[in-house]
Amino acid sequence: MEGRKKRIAMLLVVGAAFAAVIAGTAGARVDTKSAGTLDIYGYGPGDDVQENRAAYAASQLSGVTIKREAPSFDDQAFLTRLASGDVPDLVRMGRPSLAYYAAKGVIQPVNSCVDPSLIKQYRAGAIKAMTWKGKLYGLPEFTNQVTLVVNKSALASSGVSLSQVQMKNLPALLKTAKKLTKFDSSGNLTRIGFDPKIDSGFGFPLWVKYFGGNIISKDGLHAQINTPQARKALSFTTAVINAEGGWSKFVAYRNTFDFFGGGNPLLKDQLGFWPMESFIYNVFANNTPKQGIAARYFTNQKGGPITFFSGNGWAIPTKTSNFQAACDYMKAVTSVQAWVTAGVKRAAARKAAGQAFTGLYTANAAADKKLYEDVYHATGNPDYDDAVKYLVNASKYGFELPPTPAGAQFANAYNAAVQRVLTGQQSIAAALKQAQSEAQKAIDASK
Amino acid sequence: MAGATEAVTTPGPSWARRRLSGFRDRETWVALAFIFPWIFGFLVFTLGPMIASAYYSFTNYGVQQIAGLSPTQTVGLKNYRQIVHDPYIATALKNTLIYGLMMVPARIVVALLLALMLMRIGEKLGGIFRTVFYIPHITPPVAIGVLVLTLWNGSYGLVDKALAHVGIQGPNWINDPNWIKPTIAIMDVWACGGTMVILLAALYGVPKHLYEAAAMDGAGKLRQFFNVTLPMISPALFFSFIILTLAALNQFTVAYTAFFNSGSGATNSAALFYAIYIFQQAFKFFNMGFACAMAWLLFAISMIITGINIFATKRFVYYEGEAKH
Repeated sequence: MEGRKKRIAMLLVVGAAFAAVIAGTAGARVDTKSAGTLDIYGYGPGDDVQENRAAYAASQLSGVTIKREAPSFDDQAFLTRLASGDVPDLVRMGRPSLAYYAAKGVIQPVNSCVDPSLIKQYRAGAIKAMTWKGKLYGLPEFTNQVTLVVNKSALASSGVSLSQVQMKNLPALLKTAKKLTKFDSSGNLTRIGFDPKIDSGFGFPLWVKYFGGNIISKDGLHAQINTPQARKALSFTTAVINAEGGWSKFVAYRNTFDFFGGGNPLLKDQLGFWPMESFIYNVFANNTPKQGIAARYFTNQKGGPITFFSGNGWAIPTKTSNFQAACDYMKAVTSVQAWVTAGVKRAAARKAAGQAFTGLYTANAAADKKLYEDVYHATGNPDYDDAVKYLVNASKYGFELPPTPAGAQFANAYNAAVQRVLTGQQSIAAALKQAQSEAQKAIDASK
Repeated sequence: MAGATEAVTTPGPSWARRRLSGFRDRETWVALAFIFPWIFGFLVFTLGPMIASAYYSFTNYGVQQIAGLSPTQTVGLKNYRQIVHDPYIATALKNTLIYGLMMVPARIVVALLLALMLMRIGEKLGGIFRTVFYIPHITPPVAIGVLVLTLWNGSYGLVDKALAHVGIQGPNWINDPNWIKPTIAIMDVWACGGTMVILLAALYGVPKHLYEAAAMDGAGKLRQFFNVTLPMISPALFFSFIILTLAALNQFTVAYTAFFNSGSGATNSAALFYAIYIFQQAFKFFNMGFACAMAWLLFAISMIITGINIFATKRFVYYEGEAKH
């Protein structure tokens, strides 16, 4: 009986919150005149947030029959559909891919259906990543911002204070990394002090940004990989890795980590601190909520926060047969209301399961504000509550790579250079010189 | 006499009639019906795509052409010229050849040793071991790729841990560029069950009386192996050699799963095999024309290597019943 009362009370609270939030955003409803069938590619059945947003978007396009099959985007399958004439009306894909397809003319500009005042809702960094030659080619969805994830128990056991987790003073950062690093009697790593993540998808552009550079020009047509900033980025990060046992030991140990399971590096005390995308806080909050964690900004040399954005985006193929419905759905599914609807339900589900809700981080700044102010409530775990504040603020300092016609070939050029340096196959200068040449050739060939 | 003259001058059935006479037999049609699925598959899924890829290798076929936004245009030999100027082609070819030189002989030798061992043990035990040795061969290559990362992780993998127990510090197999190809070759040798079965069948086919005759002539076991066994199983060895060489040239799944699809951060350029580079150019960068040209280069290399093998091993391969001149 007591349980039933509790459930009813919770339903009433959630219902009231939902009604209040929706009422607060009702003025921004998507005005649609869509009809016909809408074939969506890359947005099939997914988690609760995805399904609740999809349900909200569908409710806004009542006269449209919606097909959502493929759960995630696959380049080969997408191109096969285009080649066979089975063109989807709307696609969701990673923003780097979207930029590439925009440069190739496979997707079309959406300026005609997205009001400039609506564009202002979205994060500028994400919008820039979807803008090619002055035209907007879609709308961004999630945004993963990179912050430093700190293992508090590692700090405590090594006598390192949280204030020593900083990036302004590089010699001090290196010293902290060494202090946190641990080896066993055989010389094998038992804890990596600081993983700079230079070999990850965001590592190289973020570290070059740290030193004040950009790896590609704003128009996406000039590679800027072989620069003093890039040399400094590789030089410092390899110095960190060498101080922690060298690349072979470092990566061999890191490959044993179970980031997404119950035995994660926090629980096993395998990592001191490292830059990572925001989703990891949600993962850790669910799997090991009692492990001490802190968030800190990834900064530039001057100590100012910077972060690298990544995430998906929505776009409309050039040969779509239902542009209006596609555009209306795209706006609806990335709208404030869609995010808030999903956020309210996610928060309620987490609460019911006794888990923490660490927020949703989207490319829609207005939605983020609403989610943080109206939906998010402190979890009661000071570590995660503090981390959420950092994540919310970090979004203001995000950047993304501009679109380039070279697409994956551009990323391949600099990632391969990083690998060659880390494995000792090439010097920093030689690797960057080769990467610069490869990247520029790829851009020139794709123009 | 007259009759004999008549027999010589009477015209026989024409060449075409003789060639087509077989089609009148019911058995021929039945046989054709049985092999039709294969012929259909070959035409549609092999020969057709080969012809198409030959055409596309002379075109600019890419994303815009696939999407139907621009027409496919011929570019002459541009894609083939690009092969000469692309530095990764040389890297990929070098990696593939080094790997092949390690994998092919090692796999044949180990498979032969296992087959010889199975010949010596009893039928009951032999059956058990045949199964045990064959299991790795039916393990999916993707699973082997994942196993590579788990077993061979430097310091923390099972292999290095086992070596540490006997006082040996193992190398960083999957992170050291010098050890990546040997590691994949070792995994291929582990999965040598298919080759072993072929060689075992060949060993069973060696007539016993040849050994008896050799023994009567005073030949010891080693001499019998080199003078009887090896010549008699040489067609099977040659077949395995050709098949494994072609497999080496096409190495893709294990290396791709282990080093390009796992986010392991491993040394990609040391594991960049030629087939992987074709895949990247075609399905990651969408330079389909260039990828087709690369595929034809691989086909040409395969044909040349096979031709050289056939020519070079002619003296050493003995076919029973074959007339030697």
